[in-house]
Amino acid sequence: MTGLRWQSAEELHRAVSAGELSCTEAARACLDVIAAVNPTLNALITVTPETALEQAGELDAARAGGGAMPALAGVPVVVKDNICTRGIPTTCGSRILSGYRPPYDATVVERLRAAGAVLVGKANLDEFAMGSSNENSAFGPARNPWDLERVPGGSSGGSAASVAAGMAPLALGSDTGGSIRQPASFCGVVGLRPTYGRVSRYGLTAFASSMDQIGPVTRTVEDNARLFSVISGHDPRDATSLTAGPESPAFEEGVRGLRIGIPAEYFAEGTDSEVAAAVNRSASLLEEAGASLVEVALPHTSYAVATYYIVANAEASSNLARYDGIRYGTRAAGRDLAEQYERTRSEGFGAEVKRRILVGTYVLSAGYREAYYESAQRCRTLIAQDFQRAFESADVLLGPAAPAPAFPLGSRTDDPLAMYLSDAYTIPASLAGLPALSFPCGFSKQGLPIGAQLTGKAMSEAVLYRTARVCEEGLGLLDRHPK
Amino acid sequence: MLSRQEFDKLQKLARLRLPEQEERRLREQIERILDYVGRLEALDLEGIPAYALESVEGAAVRLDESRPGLGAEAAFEGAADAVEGMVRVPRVLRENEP
Repeated sequence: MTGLRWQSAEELHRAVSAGELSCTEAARACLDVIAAVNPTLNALITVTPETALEQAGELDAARAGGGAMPALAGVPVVVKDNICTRGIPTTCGSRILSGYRPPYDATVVERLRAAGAVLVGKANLDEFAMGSSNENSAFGPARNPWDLERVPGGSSGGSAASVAAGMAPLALGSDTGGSIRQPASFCGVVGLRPTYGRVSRYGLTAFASSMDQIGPVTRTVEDNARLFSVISGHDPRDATSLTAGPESPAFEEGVRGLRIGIPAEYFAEGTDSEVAAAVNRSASLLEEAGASLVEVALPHTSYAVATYYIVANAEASSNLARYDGIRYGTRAAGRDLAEQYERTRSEGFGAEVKRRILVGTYVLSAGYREAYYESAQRCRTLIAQDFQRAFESADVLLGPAAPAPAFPLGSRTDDPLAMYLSDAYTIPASLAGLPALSFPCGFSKQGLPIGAQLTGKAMSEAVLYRTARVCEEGLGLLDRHPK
Repeated sequence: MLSRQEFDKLQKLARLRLPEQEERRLREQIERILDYVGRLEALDLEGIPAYALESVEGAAVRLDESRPGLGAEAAFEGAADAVEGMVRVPRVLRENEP
C-alpha cells in the first residue's frame, strides 16, 4: 500500500469518512505490508486477516447504510500480545500460554472495536512483558526496522517496530518500567505511558500491578492523543481505574509560558553524547516557542533501578503464581499436583521470567523482606517526593528516554543487569505513577532514532501532547522512514 | 552469598525446578542482581513511610453487587484437561490418607 503505508490514522480516518477509501481497502493494504515485512521483522506473533477483513466489511456496510463513522473507523491497529482478545491467541510471548485463546476481550480492545479500529495482529513482546529488548520472547526476537541487527527495545518491541515499519499507524503497548517509552525511542515513534489508573487494565496480563499501564504507540503525536482518548476513561472492572474521562489536548495553545524542567540526573555519565545533544535541541525548540527552561533535581534517580527490580519482581512472583497448568495454558504431566506445577512452570517459563520470579520470591521471603522489599517501598516514596518537588518549579520535565540508541541483538542477553540499566530514565516515572511520553527527537550518526521523554504531573497527558507536538513540528522528522 | 540450600528452598517456594546447568547460571546472575539492589542499604530510610499510591482525585470503588460471570464452560475453555465444566488434576490425597 505504497500510497497508504505511511498515512496517519487521522489521514486514513478522513479518507474513510469522506468515502474516498473503504475500510476493506485500508485493511487489505495494511495486510499486504504485514505479509511483506513481518517475516523479516517478526513484529507480530499472530496476524488476523480474517477478523480484520470481516470487521472492515461490517464498517463498510454500516457506512453504506448511512451510519456515522466512529473516531478510528477503518484504521488498522496492532495490539500487544499480553492484552486479551476474545478467541484470538494471546501468548504473552510465553510457551506456557502457547495457543491460549482468551474467552473475553480486554476493555481497551472493546473500546478499539467500538471506535471502529480494525485489529490486524498481535504484537511480539518480551515474555510476560519482562525485558528491554524483545529478545525474551518464546517466538523469537523482533527486529528494529531501522537496523535489522539491532533490538527494537522492549518489552513492547513488536508494537513499536510494527508502527515504525508502516505495518499499522496505531498500536497498543504496555509499560511497567518503560516498556512503551524505551521501544518507542529505539524505533523512532511516539509512545505514552498514561497516569496510573487512566487506562483500564481489565484484560491486561498482570506483571507488576502497582505499575502496569496500557498505552498508545503511534508515528504522530496527534494520532497518539486520538488513540489515548479512545482507550482512556473509567472502567468498573478495574479497581485501580480513575473516573476522569477522556480529553483532547488543545494543540493550538502551544507551550508559551510553560516551565520545562531539565533534570541533571537524566544526563548523567553513561548517557550517549548524541542522545544528550538531540534532547537539548528539543529543549531549544521549546524555548524558542515561548517556554522557559529550569534546572530541577531528582536526587534519588540512581536508586530507581534497584527499587524497581525489587518491587516489580516481588509483584511478578505473586502474579505469575497463577500459571500452574490447571485452568489455562500448557500443562506438563507430574505424579502429583506439586510435581505437575513444578514441571509445568519449569518447562513453560523462559530464563528471564524464572530469574525474576526467583528474585521476587527471595525479596519477599522471611528474613529478607524488610531489608529488600520494605526498603524499596520507602525508597519509592523518596523518588515520588523528588518529582513533587521538581513540579513546584516546572510543569513538564524533559530528558532522554534511554541513555543510548538501540543496541545490537545479543549484546546484553548474558548480562541481565546491563539490560536493566537501559531503563534507568523510564523507571522513575513508573515508580511514581506519573504520565510520561517518548517522542522522536533526532537520529544518531549511524541513522538510529533517538527518543526524548517528557514527564508530567498526574493527569497532565494533554500538556505532554502539546509539548511533544511543538517539537515534532519544529524537528520535521515525520517524513523519515526506515528503508 | 546464596547457598545451594537457600537456592533449593527458593526454587521450592517458587514452584520451579531448574536443570543443574541452568541452575548454576541463574544462581550467579541472581547473586549479582541481589548485590546490585542491595545498594539501597546506603540510604537512610528511617522515618520514611512505605510508598502508597497517592489518592488521586477520581479513584472510585464499584458497588458491591453480583453480576453475571463467564460461566465454568467458557472459563475452562483454555484448560488442558477439562471435563463437564470441571478441571481434572492429579490425585491430591493418597490412598489410606484421612
